[in-house]
Amino acid sequence: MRDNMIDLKLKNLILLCKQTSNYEKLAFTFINLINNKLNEIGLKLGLAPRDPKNEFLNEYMIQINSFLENGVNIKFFPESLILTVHDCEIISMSHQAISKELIKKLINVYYEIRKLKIPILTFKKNFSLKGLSEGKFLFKGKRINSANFQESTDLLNLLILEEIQAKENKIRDFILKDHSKSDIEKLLRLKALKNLFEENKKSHFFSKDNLKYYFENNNLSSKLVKDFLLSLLILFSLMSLTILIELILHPILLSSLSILLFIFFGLTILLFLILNS
Amino acid sequence: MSLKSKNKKFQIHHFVKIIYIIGLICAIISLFLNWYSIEIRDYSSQLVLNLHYSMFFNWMKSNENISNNYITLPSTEAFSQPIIMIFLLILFLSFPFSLISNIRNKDRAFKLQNYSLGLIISPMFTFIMLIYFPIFYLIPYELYFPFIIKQDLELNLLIFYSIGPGYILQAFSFIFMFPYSMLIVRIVEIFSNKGDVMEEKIKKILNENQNRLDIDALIAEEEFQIEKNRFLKNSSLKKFSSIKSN
Repeated sequence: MRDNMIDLKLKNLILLCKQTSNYEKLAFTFINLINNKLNEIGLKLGLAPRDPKNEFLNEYMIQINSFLENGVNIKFFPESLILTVHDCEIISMSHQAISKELIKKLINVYYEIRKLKIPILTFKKNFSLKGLSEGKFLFKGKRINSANFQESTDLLNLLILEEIQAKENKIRDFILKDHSKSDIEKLLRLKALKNLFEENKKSHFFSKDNLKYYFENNNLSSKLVKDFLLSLLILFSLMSLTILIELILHPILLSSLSILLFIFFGLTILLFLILNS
Repeated sequence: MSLKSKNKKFQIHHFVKIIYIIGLICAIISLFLNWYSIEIRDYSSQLVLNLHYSMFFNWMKSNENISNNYITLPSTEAFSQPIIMIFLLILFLSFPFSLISNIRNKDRAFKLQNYSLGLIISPMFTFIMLIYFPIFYLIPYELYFPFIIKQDLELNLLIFYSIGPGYILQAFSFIFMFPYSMLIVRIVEIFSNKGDVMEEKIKKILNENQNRLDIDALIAEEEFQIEKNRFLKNSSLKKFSSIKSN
């Protein structure tokens, strides 16, 4: 929706600048848009934002390219695109006359860069797999028997890594053949998932996006028992509070209600200790 | 063969869901039962007057012919009828929430946020009623909580104050509804996107480092330029035509 609004405004601006032949303004606008988009991509990948004083746009694009190459073996920005950006930037900075062709190139560059959707990869733990429904492939209904747990865990780890690698290769081939930039997001998520998994090899790998596997967790019953005890705790504390208020307002009832107060209060403390143990 | 393997298909969350539904039913039934009763007997255990309070019918006497000269009752209801109706509506709406929706098969946990809100309202409302009724309605009018036998020496009467089955059932309904609601809230908390925090941080850094671009201002500048050129062109044409006519 936001992109649609920007596109409408840009269309308006292009039409108006065509009338006034003010191509410098268009060049300035698109170069700034490209700069902002590259900054956003770089930040999400974990790079520092571009330093406009010391770094050209093409240099930042080369940095992003090398990051993606190291990570997922994909070069997103082709050499021709980087050269185009370099030329456009030089021309606009040198205040030379800006032609329509240059503007067309800038518009193409901007919309090419906008196709790249990058997830936030700048935090390692609690990584959310939102949008990646392929997470289900990690578990193929294997149940781990407590007797050969360690062996099963190693085997499962190998299986999982194999699956991730296979999936990665498949998406990479698809991107290279069809030049579908939108799949790069999936590729980056898989890569981050693999890294996360390799870091946590010794502990259990917990796929957080799939609710189905949360319910197969053995600790669920103990948590529910705790919730049940918590509800009793809340109720007994409510009862003891009510009786306490009543005794404050009507002290004459102390002899009658004190035993009830002690029972409820005692139960509250007992439940509190049980829940905290 | 262990119990777990025998009951492979039996899921514990189904059990808790059933308990939740029982809790809902208890809460609905409790609204129609008596929440408080006062029994007045003489020393020979003969019943003098029996008063009950229920949510829908307010205070009722067992025998309408006998007037109540013994106890001052509150003039208003504990909860007004609209509030009771809203509570009933919430309870009835929680039924489809819990019955129809199968959270186990949901892929996107963040869609459960509304679902968890819907489920947690019923126990919360129940709890509020459990607090409000004794503390703000009974105790200020010297209607004792939970059970008291009072001896009136002047009138030689025994007055039995006690909470009714409605209140007790409401308390049970809270205990039954609580675990399932907490389960859903916990799931939503675990599975909700924790990337939001980083997204905000990135937005903040971007705001500091981005070149601010007001496309609307640029459009306005160009439009002004076009208008200005048009005006200048028109005024120069007018001048030219006036010079020519002279």
